[in-house]
Amino acid sequence: MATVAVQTAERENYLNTEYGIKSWLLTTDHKRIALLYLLAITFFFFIGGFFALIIRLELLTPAGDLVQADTYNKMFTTHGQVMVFFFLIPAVPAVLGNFLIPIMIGAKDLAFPRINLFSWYLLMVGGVLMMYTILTGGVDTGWTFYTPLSTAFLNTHVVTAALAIFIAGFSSILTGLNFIVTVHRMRAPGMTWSRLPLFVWANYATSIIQVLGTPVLAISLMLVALDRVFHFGFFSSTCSGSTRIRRYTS
Amino acid sequence: MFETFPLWPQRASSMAGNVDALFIFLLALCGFMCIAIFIMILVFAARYRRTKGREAEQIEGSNVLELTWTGVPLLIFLGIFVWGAVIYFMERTPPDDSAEIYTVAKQWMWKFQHLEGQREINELHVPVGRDVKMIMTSQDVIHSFYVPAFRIKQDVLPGRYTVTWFRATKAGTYHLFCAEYCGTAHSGMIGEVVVMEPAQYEQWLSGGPAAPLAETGKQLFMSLGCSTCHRFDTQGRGPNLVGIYGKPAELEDGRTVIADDNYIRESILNPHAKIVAGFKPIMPVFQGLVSEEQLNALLAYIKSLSQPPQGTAGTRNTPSTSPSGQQQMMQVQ
Repeated sequence: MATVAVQTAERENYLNTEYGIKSWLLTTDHKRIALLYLLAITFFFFIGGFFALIIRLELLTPAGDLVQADTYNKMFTTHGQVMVFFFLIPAVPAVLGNFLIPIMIGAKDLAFPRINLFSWYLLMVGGVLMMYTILTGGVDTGWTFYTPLSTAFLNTHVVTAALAIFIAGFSSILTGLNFIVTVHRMRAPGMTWSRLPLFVWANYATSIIQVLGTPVLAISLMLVALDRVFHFGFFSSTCSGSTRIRRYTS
Repeated sequence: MFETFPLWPQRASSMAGNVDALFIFLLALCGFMCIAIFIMILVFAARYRRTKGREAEQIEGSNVLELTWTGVPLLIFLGIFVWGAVIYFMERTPPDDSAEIYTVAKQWMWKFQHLEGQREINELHVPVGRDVKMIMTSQDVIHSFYVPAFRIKQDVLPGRYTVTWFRATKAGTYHLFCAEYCGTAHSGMIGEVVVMEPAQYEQWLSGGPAAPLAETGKQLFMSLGCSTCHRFDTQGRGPNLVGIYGKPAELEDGRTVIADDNYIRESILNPHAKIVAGFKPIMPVFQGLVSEEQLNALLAYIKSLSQPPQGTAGTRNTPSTSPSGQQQMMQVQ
């Protein structure tokens, strides 16, 4: 009886309000979405970390005795792409930002909770495509996709990798947009701009960069994919394109 | 003093000291700030620890203090920026009388063409004390010309020329790396820069039966039929190329461009991109018809039509730049 009394007295929170996988996969609660992001980036952290481990093991000796040169190139490319686009970029804004920003500014949730969940799904779609790329042979462009190496000189899965990052990019854009609107419109009375915690300011600035910068990155990756598939010559110096466009936009 | 430090890389160019000075300054500044911050953390943690009977005080802030800690770092950062920019521009601006060496990078080797005609692969011979300008292009993907002992690193791009320069100060053999990931055997795209005393270099130059690069360019100029239209008078169907290098060229659309390396390159490969005022777009496209090495030879020849012979300590003159070379061309017309 005493146990039952304690359980009924427990306050309802975001963890115990609902149970079951469906309640997590369809949640619009910013704290639950933050935890979903935490799970996702932890998974990708271990994937990226695994490739880092292979790289370091290979570098124990100068000779290529663990993996061949082309495999090694795939290892550091995949390490970079997974760590940058599926761990580093979502880590602070999507996990900590999602969890803390509404609490810190006195808002009940983000401005667009459904878009928030949609952003997580976009990251997942990008992540699945990235895993497909890895499992079907990988990519060896280097994480920067510099052209014309990535468009005309390699025969690995550049298109699916570029698409994966393109889709994940929209997750960042929508999350950034969500944070900007939330910080502008949903601050509690008395929470003036000068009283905003430093973390919120930092996330706000990051969100602006995400909204302005990520579309450029995403579009340039789409151009890489289109260039490979349709040979448009966007980055080819022999077709009045420029190899430098990709560098400037990465 | 840092040269004796075991981990310090060799220093063998006139620019290396400048780069090292900036690096040492940044290292010292970061080290000082790092130590200062850790000391402050420890001091504050000890001094402001929880003590019985002591209440925290509300701090209202100080505008003077905030302006100071904003302004002082800003000035320091601006100083670092200006210092870095000065070095950057020094590294990007070769002296006028530099010896020129053409470089073609490809997966996965470095090819060098000396004006005197010598060609090398993955090995570059240069004299001590001579300004050397590297005119570089790639025939496939992006590479990067990196000589740590000279403290220079310059990207080498396909479809255009990029330039860097150095003056070696110490004879010896130094590493040359590609510093831009360029495909499967990128790590094997390495070479050596052999810095020689001027007398030795002279000897090395005279070692092989090589035709000067401009002379090779002249032969190409004639064999490709360029000389048919680009005559050395005003009657040609194409512009007279004597004296055009480095000068402004008026275009058909009213723009004016400087006839530099990249302009000449584009005018050969894709002549319709920029039409010189008063001429018709009748020149055939040479994209895919001439190799990068041939293009360099043509460029060297066209440049030779615009400048007096370049000859200084450690290098021989380039014979085809002489006025008599131009005389011969006029006779060909």
